[in-house]
Amino acid sequence: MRWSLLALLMLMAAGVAAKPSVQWSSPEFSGLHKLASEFRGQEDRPGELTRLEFKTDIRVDKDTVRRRVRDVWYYSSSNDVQNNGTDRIYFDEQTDQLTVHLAGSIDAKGRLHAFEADNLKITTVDNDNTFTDRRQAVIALPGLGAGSVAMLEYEIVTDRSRLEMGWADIFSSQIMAPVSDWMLSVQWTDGEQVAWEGGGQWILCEGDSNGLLCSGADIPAVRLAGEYSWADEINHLIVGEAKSWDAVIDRARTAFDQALADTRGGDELLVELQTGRLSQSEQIALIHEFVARDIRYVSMSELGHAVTPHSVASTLSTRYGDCKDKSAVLYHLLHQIGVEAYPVLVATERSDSSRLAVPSMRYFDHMVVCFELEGSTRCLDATDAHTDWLHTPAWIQGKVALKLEPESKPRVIDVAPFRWKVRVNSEFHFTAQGGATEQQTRTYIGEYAGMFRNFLSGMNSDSRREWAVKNYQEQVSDLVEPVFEFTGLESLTPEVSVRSATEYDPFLNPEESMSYFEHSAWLNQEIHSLYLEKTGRTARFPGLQVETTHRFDVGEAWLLTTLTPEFEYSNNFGRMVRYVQHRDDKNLKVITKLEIPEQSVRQGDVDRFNQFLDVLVRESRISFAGQ
Amino acid sequence: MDSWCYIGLCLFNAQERIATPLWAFVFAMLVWGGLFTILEMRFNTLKRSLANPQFRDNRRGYSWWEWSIALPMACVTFGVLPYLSLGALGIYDIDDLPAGDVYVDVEGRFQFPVPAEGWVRVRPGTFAQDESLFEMRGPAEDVWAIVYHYEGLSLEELAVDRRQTLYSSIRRAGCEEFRQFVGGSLNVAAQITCTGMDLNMPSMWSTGIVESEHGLYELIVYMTTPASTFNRRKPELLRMTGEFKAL
Repeated sequence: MRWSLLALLMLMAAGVAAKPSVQWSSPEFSGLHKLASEFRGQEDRPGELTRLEFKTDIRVDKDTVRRRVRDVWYYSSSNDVQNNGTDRIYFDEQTDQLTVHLAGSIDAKGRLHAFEADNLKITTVDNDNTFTDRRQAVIALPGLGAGSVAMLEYEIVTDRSRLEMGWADIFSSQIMAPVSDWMLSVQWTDGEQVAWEGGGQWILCEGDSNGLLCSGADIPAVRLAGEYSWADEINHLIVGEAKSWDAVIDRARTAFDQALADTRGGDELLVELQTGRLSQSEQIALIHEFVARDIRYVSMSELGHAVTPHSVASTLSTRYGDCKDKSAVLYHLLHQIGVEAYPVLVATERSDSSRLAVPSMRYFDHMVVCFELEGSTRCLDATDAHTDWLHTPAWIQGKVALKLEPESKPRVIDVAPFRWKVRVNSEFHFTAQGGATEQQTRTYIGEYAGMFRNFLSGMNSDSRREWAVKNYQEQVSDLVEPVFEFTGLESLTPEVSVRSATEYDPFLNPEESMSYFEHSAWLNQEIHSLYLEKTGRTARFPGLQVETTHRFDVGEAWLLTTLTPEFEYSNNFGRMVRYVQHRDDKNLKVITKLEIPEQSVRQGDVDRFNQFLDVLVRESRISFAGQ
Repeated sequence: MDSWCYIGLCLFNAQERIATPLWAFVFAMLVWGGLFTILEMRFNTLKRSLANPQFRDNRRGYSWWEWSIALPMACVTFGVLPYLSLGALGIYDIDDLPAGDVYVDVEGRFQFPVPAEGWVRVRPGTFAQDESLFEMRGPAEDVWAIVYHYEGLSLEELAVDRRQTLYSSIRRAGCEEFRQFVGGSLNVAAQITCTGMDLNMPSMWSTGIVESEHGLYELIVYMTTPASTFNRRKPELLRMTGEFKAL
């Protein structure tokens, strides 16, 4: 018994589950033979990986949604095989039944290679931040080589009674490879309300009260460079149950509210957290930190809980949960201290709310809790254990969100004008021997503090120190190995600071005049990391705010003569200004402020924007002389 | 004669406070020279009325060592000084620059404001030791401006050189530098100004350096002049270098 339990645990640990939802039917390869034979007879075969056919038939009735898919690929080279020789079928283990009808290939010499059912692997998908319990059936197609044609034919049947939010499918006719033939047909029985929208320029759709037929041919591959959101850039066709946004909100909110039926442990927790004598802001900070850090994230979208959170009592008891579970706890605790919070669904892959044409839950994969405070909306992400509550985590800024309150519509979460905010203080004292001592403090603020906290808290103290030394030596100087101190990592404060102290051996002759210059290393590092790419699309700049204060004391050996320039570089992209304060002949204070707000930059302006950054890097250097 | 002496003293005293034209200085020197000649004649008349007056080397007027000083100084006075004063006397003048206008180079390379009357374009080489594009004599003595053009030199290199040179060219110097974009472009304009003392008078160097597609252009302005004139002219000169532009 113990051995079987151990085996089961090992199997689960390997991410390979049993195959209860997958069936095999006896394959019939005549269709594949015929297709491959015809294809080999063609003289103008494609010179790249090509989807020869993608055909989907959907039948919708009262109890089920049946999707029959036929997917045929041509591999022109062994490179195509290396990169794309494994196919995957995605399905929800809780609601779907997968039947594989055919999986095999025919090589360039006409030999058939059938996929054996025993070789099928069912693995978990990265289900962080999803409202489904998805699996993937991994099919490593056998016998593939240059000139092979592969076919996969399967059927997924969804039990509608097990769906919490109704059905909806999203299709993209245009993919990273050219598509020769694409077809979708949907048929539904009388009484079913089905809506569809989109599709884009490459397919043509015709629909009536009982069906929809879409088709397209010779669809070119998508060519996208740089960072992009697939959901925003590519035209999609969505087909699903016809609902209004209010209906979606109502069902999602009803599901959410179920978690609030049992809130045992909440009051005791507030007592334990000692929130009683704190201000409301301090209470919010404490509650947010508890939910974000002391309830660990575990994906929990099993049957009945794809959309419905586990009860607050359950999550408080187990101290784990996913975004909706943690959000329910956060929502409850905030209400307990008098904050009128509300749950909000987030589509983390989407930034364009106009593309959510058919009301559906399918777009959303995350949940946060928001509330109004002092005239502005605060959104707290209970799964972000690193960003303080006053700042919206960077990764959901600008994403499409749906407030679970009646009459709400999808809208984009506000984007901070400056996502990356840094403050640098440096004190540089020249010694009488011509060396110098230096103390620096870099302070990362808000979203940037969250990112740094995430990055640094994952390291032990030795790794952290090694990273800091390496970073300093790359950015500032490799002549020294400073001592570092980190503050703000332990709790969710708005700032994280990295302090360093070091001493440089003599590098100037105190008997001679001095001529000193240095690049504003940390300022330059921030600018360098944000150059825009030319991708053919409008580029997004996330917003950068840096303030550096350098204090120099030339010590006993010199008197200051000429100082670094003051400047004000300002245009429609942003502004960098420098003030120089010269208290006496020994001390110099140089304050530099850079502000480049979050903005869209048209492709035609990207070169000019990057040239603007070039000038800022060049002009940020500090130079002065003494005698 | 006493009143003439008094006028002359007032003139020299005024020259320490406000700038005066060179002709006034020459005139004052001539008056002073004439008055000293008359005074010398009176002393000689008085001397002759004495019994047995002693005139040393009566035939030649001066002793040999007096001649050895007088002759070279006479050459300097009547030869070198007028030559050095040619520029100030307008020998090299080309044309006046109208006050209040923006002067635009005839070849369309640069422009700057002319903030006051008295600026006169002069022949290149009048003030500059090296090759210049344009030179101007200012509205007061020891006020002038030069425009240079450079290729293959960065703004930073030129600015560093100017900071060091200007700082060391005047006593008790204090220098300031300010940079900004030129209009809506990404070209940078720098203005460096050093003020201090030169021969006990306030002195200033100010230079405007601008980047352009055709290299660097620089307008450098110099002024060493009595305090009252210095304070009045300083904002005008700073405006010239601050608004200097490459076209």
